[in-house]
Amino acid sequence: MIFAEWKPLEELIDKLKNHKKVLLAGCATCVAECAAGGEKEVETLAPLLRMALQKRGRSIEITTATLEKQCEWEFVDELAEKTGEVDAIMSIACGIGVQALAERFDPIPVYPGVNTSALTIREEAGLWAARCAACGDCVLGETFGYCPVARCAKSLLNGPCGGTRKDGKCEVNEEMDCIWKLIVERADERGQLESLSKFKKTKDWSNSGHGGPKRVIREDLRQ
Amino acid sequence: MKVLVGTKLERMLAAGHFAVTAEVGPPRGPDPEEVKKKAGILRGVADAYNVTDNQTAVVRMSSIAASKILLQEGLEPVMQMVCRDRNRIAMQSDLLGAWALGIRNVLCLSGDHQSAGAGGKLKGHPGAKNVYDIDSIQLISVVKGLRDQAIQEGGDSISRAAPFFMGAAWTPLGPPEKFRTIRLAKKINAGADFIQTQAVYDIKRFAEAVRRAEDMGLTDRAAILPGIIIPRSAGMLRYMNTNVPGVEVPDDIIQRMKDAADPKAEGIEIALELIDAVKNLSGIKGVHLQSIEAEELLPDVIRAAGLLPRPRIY
Amino acid sequence: MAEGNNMTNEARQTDQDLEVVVLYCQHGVSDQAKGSDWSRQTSGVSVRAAMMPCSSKIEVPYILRILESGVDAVEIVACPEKSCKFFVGSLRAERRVEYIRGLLEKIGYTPERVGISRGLSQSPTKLLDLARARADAVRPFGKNPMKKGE
Repeated sequence: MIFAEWKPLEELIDKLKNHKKVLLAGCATCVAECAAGGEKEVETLAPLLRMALQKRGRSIEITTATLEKQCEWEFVDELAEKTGEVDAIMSIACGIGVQALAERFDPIPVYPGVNTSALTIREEAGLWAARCAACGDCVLGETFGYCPVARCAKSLLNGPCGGTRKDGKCEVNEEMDCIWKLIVERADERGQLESLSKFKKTKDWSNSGHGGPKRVIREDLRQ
Repeated sequence: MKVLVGTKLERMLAAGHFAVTAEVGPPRGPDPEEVKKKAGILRGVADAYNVTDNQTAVVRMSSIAASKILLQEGLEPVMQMVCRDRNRIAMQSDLLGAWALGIRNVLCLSGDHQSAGAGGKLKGHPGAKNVYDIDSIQLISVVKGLRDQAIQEGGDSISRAAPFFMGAAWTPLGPPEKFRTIRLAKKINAGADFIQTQAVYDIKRFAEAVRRAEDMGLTDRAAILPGIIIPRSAGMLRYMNTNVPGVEVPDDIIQRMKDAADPKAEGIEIALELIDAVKNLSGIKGVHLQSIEAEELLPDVIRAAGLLPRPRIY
Repeated sequence: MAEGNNMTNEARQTDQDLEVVVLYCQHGVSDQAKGSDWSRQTSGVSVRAAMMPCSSKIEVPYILRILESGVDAVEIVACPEKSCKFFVGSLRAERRVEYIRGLLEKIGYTPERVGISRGLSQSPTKLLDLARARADAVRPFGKNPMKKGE
C-alpha cells in the first residue's frame, strides 16, 4: 500500500492553532492499512489535537470523516456536505488525497497530517517494509522476485556491493537483509546463478517520476 | 598485458613488476596546500595514488581537483569515482574533464550510502537526495565506451576517445561468498583493468578467494592488488572486524596488537607480514596501501617491505 | 468517611476529587465485582467503572475520548499475560497503553493519566484500590487540563 506516517504532532498543532473549525478527513484504503489515516486514526488524532490545542489556550472544533478513498472523485464529493463553515481541512490520506481535497474544496486550505513516504507491504503486525520504487522499468522477472531498486539502498542492478555484513544484513540498515544476498541465494536454489553473471545495463529511469511528472492517457477509457 | 593508455601504473604492471598504489584522502576543506603536503610525504613511494571521492559520504575536496593537484606535484593519481552523488551525465562530464586535466587512472565504485557520515562521527548529509543512477559495473562499461568507442552512454559520440586505465573494487569475503568471484568476473568483463580489494587481514581466506578467481582465469585478465590497511590499535582492528563489511581480522592478529608493548610498531610489523604474504600469492600483481588519516606511515612501511625504490620503467 | 469494604457511597464528591475511570476485563474479576457500570466515591477519588469483554477490546480512540471529556485518569485492569482468554488480548492492551502514554507526552499531557494493572479474581475492593493508586499517581500533576476548558 501507499505508506504514510503522522507528521510530528507539534507540526500539526502549529498548523491548526489559528483555525476555529477544522474537518479531519481520513481514508479507508492505503493509509488505513498502514495505521496512519483510517477511521481509527482519525478518531485518535481528533481528540488528541483538541486536547493539545486546549492546553495551548485555543479551543478548536474538529469534525471528522473517513472516506472510502480520497483518490476517487466520487468519494471525495461525499465530503462536500461536511465542509460548510469549516475554515480548514486536515487530510491524513496520502499526498494524492490531500491534493484531491485541495482541488475539490478550494478555497478551503487543506493541510496534510501525514508524510507519505513509500510503497510497502505489511510484513507482519506492526511492521511495514518498502517493496516498490515505482521505477517504471520493472526488473523483478530477472531478480527472482526481489526488487533491488526499492530494497537495495544503492539500487544496484549487478549484484551486491561490498557492504553486505557477515550476518547478511545491509551496512546501510543493519536490520535489513542485503537484498542481493537473497537474490543470489534464490537464484542458486533454482540452479540459475548463471543468469546473474549477465551484465545488466544502465536503467532507463525516464518512465518514472525521473522523466518528469507523470500524466498518462488511455484513449480506450476516455469519455 | 598490452599497454593501451600509458599510465605509470599500467606500464609497471605490464612490465611484470609488483605494483604499489597508496591512498590519499583529500582534505575536508578547500586548501590545496593540504594535498601538496601529502604529496610531499608520499612522493616516490608508489606507482599511483588513489584519491578518494567523498569517502563515507563526507564532503571533501573533489577527487578530480585533488587528483589534478597531485599531478601538478608529479604524482600519478587514480581518481576514484563513486555512483552515489552523480548521475551518468555528470559522471561522463567529469571523466572528460579529468582526461582533459591529464588524469588517466580511474577507480569505479558504488560508494558509501549518504547515511554513512564517517561512521556516525560527523553530521554528514543524510538528508541528501540519493542519486545512484548507475552502478559501479555499469560505470565501468561507460568508461569503456568513452575509451574504446569514443561514445557516450546514451549513444552520442564524443569528439575523441578518452582512454582511461580502469579499476574496480573487490570485496572477496562477505556474503554471498559464492557470488563474489562472479561479481569480480562481471567487473572484468565490463572492462576493468585492475582491481583493488577491501582490506585483507586473513591471508588464508583471501588466498582461497584469489584461487577461485584464478580458476576462472580472472587473474590473467586484470591485475589484482589487495588492500592493506596499516593497523594502529587493537581497537581499530576490532572495530573494522565488526563494522566494516568484508573485513575479517583473525583473532591472533587482534591479540598481537592487544599484547604489543608498542602497538604502532606492531601494526607496521603486521602490515609488512601481510604485504609479504600477498606478494607470494599466485595471481597477485601488486598491493594497495592505505593508512587512514595517517599517510605519513606509508613511506617507512613501503621501504621496509623492500618495495623501494620503485623500478624505473620507460 | 469510612471506605472500602462495603460498597456504599460514603463520601460526597468535592471539587478536590479526582475522577478516575476503571475499565476492567470481565475475566479478571470475581463474580462479586462483575456487573455493568458502577460508580463510587472514596476519599478524594470519584470512580466510575465499566466492564469490558476483554482488555484488548479497549481501543485507543475510546481512551482518548474519555480523557478528552475531562476525566483525570483511566485505569485498565487486565488479566495476567498467561491467563488472557484471548491469548494476546492483555498484551495488546498494554501496548496500547504505552502508545497512548507516548501520545499524551507528545502533546504535553501527563502520561500517567492512563495506566494498566493485571491480576485475576479482582475483588471490588481491589478495583477501588487500583483506582485510588492511579489517582495518587496523577495527583501531583493536578486535574486534567481539559476540565478548565469546559
